[in-house]
Amino acid sequence: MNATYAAELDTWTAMCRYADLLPERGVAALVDGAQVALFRTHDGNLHALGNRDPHTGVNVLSRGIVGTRGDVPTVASPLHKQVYDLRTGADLDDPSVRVPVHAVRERDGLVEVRIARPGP
Amino acid sequence: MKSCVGSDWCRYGVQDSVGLAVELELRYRGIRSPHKIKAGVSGCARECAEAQSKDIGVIATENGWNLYVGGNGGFRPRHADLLLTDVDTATLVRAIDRFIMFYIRTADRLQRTAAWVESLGGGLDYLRSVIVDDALGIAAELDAAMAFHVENYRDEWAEVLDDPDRLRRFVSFVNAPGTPDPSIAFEQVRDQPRPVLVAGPELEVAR
Repeated sequence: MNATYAAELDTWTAMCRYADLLPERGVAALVDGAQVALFRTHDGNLHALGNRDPHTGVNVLSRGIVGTRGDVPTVASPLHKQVYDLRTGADLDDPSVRVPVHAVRERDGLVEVRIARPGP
Repeated sequence: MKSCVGSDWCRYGVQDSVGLAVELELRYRGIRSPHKIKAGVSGCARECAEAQSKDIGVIATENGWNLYVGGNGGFRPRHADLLLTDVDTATLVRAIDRFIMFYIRTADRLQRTAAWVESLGGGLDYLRSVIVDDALGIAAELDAAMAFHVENYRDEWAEVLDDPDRLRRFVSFVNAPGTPDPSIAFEQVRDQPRPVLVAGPELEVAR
C-alpha cells in the first residue's frame, strides 16, 4: 500500500486492519494527501479526526493521549494538551476551535475512512 | 553516566574511572525510578566528570572511591553530599545499589534525589545509617530488588526491532508506511540538517 492507495473523493477507503489498531491509541493515515488520525477507544469504537492540531499547526493528534471527560471520548494534543471530543472534533475548552471529523467504519475486518469535504 | 578519561589516559588519574562508569551504566540501565538519575565518575580529585553535581557521584582516591549523593544541576544547583570515603569497588556498588533502591521505594514521583535527600528526617546521617548500618533492617530487601533488576534487564528497543508486530507501530502512516510525513522538511544550517515546519494540506469539513 502507498499514498496513491487513496481512492476517489467521498468514497470509503481502507486504511488498515481493525486488529492493527490498539485500544486507546491512535495512528496516522494518509488519504488523498490529507493526514487523518484514527482512534480505537476502549469500547471498540472507531473515530477519525484530522491529524493537525489547530493550536500548533502540527500533525500530531494521532499521537495524542486518548481518554474521556465525563462520558465524552477525547484525545489530548501531545503538545499543549488541548482536549478534543473524538466524536465532534470540538475543543472542549475553546468553542472557537474544532478539528475536522471524518466518517470511519469497520467492514470485513478493515478500517475504512470517508474524507469529509466542503459541500458545493 | 559521565566519566573523565581516568587512569588509562590521564597522568593524574588514580583509578580506572571509565571502567567503573561502564560497569555502573550496565548495572543500572533501564531501571524505573521516580525521576531521571544522573551519575558521574571522576578518576581523581580534579573532578573532570563533575560528579558532585550528579545524583550519584564517585571520585577516585589513592585508596579507593569516595561516594557523593544528592547532587543537582539546572535550576537548583546543589553539590552532592559525601556519603562514603575510601571504599573498595564492591562496597561502593553495594552502597549505590541500596541508595538507588531506597530512593525508588520512598521518593515522591518526579522528585530528584537532591530534594529527596533534603526531605529525609535526620539527613545524611540517617541515610548512611540505613545504607551502611542497615538501621531499618531492609538492606537485604534492597539488595535483592537490585539483583532482580540486574538479572532481568532487557533491551526493550531491541525487542521491538525483533518483533514485526510492534515495529509496525513506528511508521509514519498506517496505510503508507514507506511515505515520510510530507509536513516535515529539512533545511541546511551550518551544513547540518534542521527540521522546518511546512504547512500541511488542510481539509475543511462540512458538518
